[in-house]
Amino acid sequence: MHRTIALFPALALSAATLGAQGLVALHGTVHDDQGAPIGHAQVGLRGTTLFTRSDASGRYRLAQVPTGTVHVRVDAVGYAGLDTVVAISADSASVDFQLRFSPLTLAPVSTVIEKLPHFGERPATSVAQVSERDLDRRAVNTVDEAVDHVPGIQFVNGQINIRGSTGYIQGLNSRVLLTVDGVPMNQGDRGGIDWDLLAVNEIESVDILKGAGSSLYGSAALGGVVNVTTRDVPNGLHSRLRLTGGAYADPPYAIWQFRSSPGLQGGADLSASYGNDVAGGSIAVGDRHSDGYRQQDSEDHFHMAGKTRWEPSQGVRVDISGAWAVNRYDVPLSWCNRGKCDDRGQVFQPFMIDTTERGARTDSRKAYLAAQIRSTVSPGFAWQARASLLRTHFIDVRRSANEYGIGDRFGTEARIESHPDTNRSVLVGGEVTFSRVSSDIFGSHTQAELAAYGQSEQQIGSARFSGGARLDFLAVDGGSLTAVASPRIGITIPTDRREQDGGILRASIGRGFRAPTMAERFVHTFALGFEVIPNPNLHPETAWSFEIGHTTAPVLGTFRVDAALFWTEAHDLIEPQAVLVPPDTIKIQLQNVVRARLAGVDATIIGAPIPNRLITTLGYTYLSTRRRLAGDSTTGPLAFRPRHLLTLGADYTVGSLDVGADFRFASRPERIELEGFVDPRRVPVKVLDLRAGWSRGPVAFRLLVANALNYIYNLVPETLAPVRTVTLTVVWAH
Amino acid sequence: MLRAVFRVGAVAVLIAGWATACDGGLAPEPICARGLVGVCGTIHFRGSVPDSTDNVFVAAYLTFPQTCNDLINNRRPVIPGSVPYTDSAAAYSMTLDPGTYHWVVAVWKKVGMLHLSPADAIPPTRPSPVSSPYRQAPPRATSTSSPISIASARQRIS
Repeated sequence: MHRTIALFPALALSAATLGAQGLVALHGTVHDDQGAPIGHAQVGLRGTTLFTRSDASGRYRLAQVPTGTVHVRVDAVGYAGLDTVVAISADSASVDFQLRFSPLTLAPVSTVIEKLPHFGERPATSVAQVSERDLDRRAVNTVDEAVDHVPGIQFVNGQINIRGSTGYIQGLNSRVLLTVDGVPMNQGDRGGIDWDLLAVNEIESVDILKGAGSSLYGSAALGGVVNVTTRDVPNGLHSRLRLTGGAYADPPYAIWQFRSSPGLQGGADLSASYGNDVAGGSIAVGDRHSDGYRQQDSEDHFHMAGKTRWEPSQGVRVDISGAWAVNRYDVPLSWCNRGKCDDRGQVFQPFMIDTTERGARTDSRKAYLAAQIRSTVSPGFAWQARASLLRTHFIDVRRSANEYGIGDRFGTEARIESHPDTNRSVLVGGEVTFSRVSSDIFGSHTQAELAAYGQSEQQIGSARFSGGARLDFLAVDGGSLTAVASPRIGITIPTDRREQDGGILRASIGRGFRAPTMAERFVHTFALGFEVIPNPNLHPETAWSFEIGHTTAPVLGTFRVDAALFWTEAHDLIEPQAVLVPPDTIKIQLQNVVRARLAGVDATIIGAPIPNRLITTLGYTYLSTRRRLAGDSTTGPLAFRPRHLLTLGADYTVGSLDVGADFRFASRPERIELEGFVDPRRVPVKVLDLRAGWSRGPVAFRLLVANALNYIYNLVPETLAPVRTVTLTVVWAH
Repeated sequence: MLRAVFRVGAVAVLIAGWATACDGGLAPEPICARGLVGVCGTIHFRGSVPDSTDNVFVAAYLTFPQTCNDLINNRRPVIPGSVPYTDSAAAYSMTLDPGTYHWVVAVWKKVGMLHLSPADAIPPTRPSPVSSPYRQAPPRATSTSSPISIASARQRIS
């Protein structure tokens, strides 16, 4: 028997129901009220280990479902969640779900980023999501370009800042952890993030956890976690072709002209997949070229990616995925200051480079391979394990000297998930990470991280409590262990009686840490004329983060507000220091010297003044930072942190046509690193992006005008940010 | 009514965004710009430029440096911008904080790393400004003979 279920009021379900007789596979489709399929919808049984996602054609299949009466939850981005009770017998396990369009409904919480399925419950910390629709609409080429529009997040020359977490540290580390399908992907040697490891064409969504995430993820999750979910392999034969082409604007002033013809960019991505109920696989390949928007800025990028899934028996799923990317890009190390090029009588030439840096380029290769297995033993118990390898290899070609580094990161993790009853869940796991580096500037070293963690969630009345902790042990070059504990507790409380989309109050406090990378410990090079010397005695940075936030229910059915107060107290942050080496030589060394406070407000208003047509967003972050050096009573702001960050967005849809705009404002950072050593010139960020799209059947056209006003700015000293770029993207999906 | 308010609000926000971005951001800044707070002027070179030339730059000191550390740590800016040295005369400019600078110096630097040692100590009397920390520096630079006060306007030195 085949049934279709629309909205029903939620009904309580006793745990005893799950103790029904047999287990069957529940399957069907998820679609909207027009009959259009809804892809990537989460379908799960409340309070159990059972969940799955629908594929692009809306089909889902959920194994191990007990016969009898079960409580099903269905969530999808942009649709009202569906809570319903389904009676399942051995011969009637096919159910279709119909969801109602509801742009103000909060996006479902990623199962990966929280490591536990959530069925309509909100987490105790702030989360954000860049959905597939957002990625498509923005027609961007790399993940960071899409995440940059999320309120409270700012990219500073490729380094992600969640509520001001990282600042800019010349690519030597990141205080945010990147995971791909839950697998950590920060570089083994430098700890940074390669945002172009995966093509946008392969990405389904990006989820962002704001605040300390070390209680589940350990090192690097000091400021937050970004998880990239790659496209699943759907049933049937599918292919997707994405072509992009565009041009960079010329400098807005004739005296800044540096070439006679416009810079161009373009690329092609092709992917194909085939799958059935048991197994499937996909392969993707892509190539991109950019002339760049300034002198010595061209880039060539090639990548391949593959993914397989295998479901050998009901409730068991094995995923193997991998990617390989090659980049060769010119490096415009810094813009030209007076006398460093044909300056044409100008103090600086932002589109030109210092002639002594001519020919600087980087050859970069990176690859990962990851295997994961999840076994759902019963509705109340599941286990999961993974193993992964990430390799990064760079060669910096410079006029003075070449440098290279090879970093490997091996990771394994195993965890069990238990739901003793529908109101309680327990997660226990262990993780081992082994990193090694071989480099002429970092030397040859190894670092091991062993960790155990546990987390539990408990519903008491209407409140939901969560608590957990992780204990990490670090060892460098086989030396003694350093232990770091990262606890976190949180609570969510509904603030009205609505079953769906009600207001929610949340609060959490947690401790995060970041282990020094091997690059930070052992770097030995020259910078700005000074010798940079190693510091093997660096110890982990730590931070306590507190947050209290509230999401309102939709107000007048037109908008909803989410606001959070956050407060982070960070200790032992690593910064470069000038040290006097006797008798009279000044050198630079990274040291644990900074104590910092980051506090502020992060607010978002989502509006749908014209349902189904116009969606608007306003995000504002006020960030106050205080930095104090060890042994120094003077304080000042942290570098590269704008006090005000504003994002405005609007999307208007009429039939198959949509237009949209984004505006980003970031106030001028009050402080930069190396003030006095570099050109301190900087301005606020004021960038307007315009976009339009049209789709019909399998074809979609996207026009993006990034930085439409051609606003000239820089985020870090002597480095020009992108100018106006017009890009046309054509996607054909079958 | 509410929808109309939203529409007007959205348009207002877009216009506000457009307006705030209209300043264009960074703009060309000629040597000796009108708004410069610091010093600017022209350097004249005599003779041919040695092949071993790495840089020529201008630096300022609030007080006359007494030690090598003073020379490195107290200069403004800490890393001065280069002055073109292939011409017979070159314009330069330097942003400085308001104050009285007792020593403004044009410096020739040889190719290679700086290696300071106690032997590089600055003599108690004011030397030819480039004679001290940079070995083999030819006496080819000029310095100011009297303090310069930087207020809110530029100063020219030639």
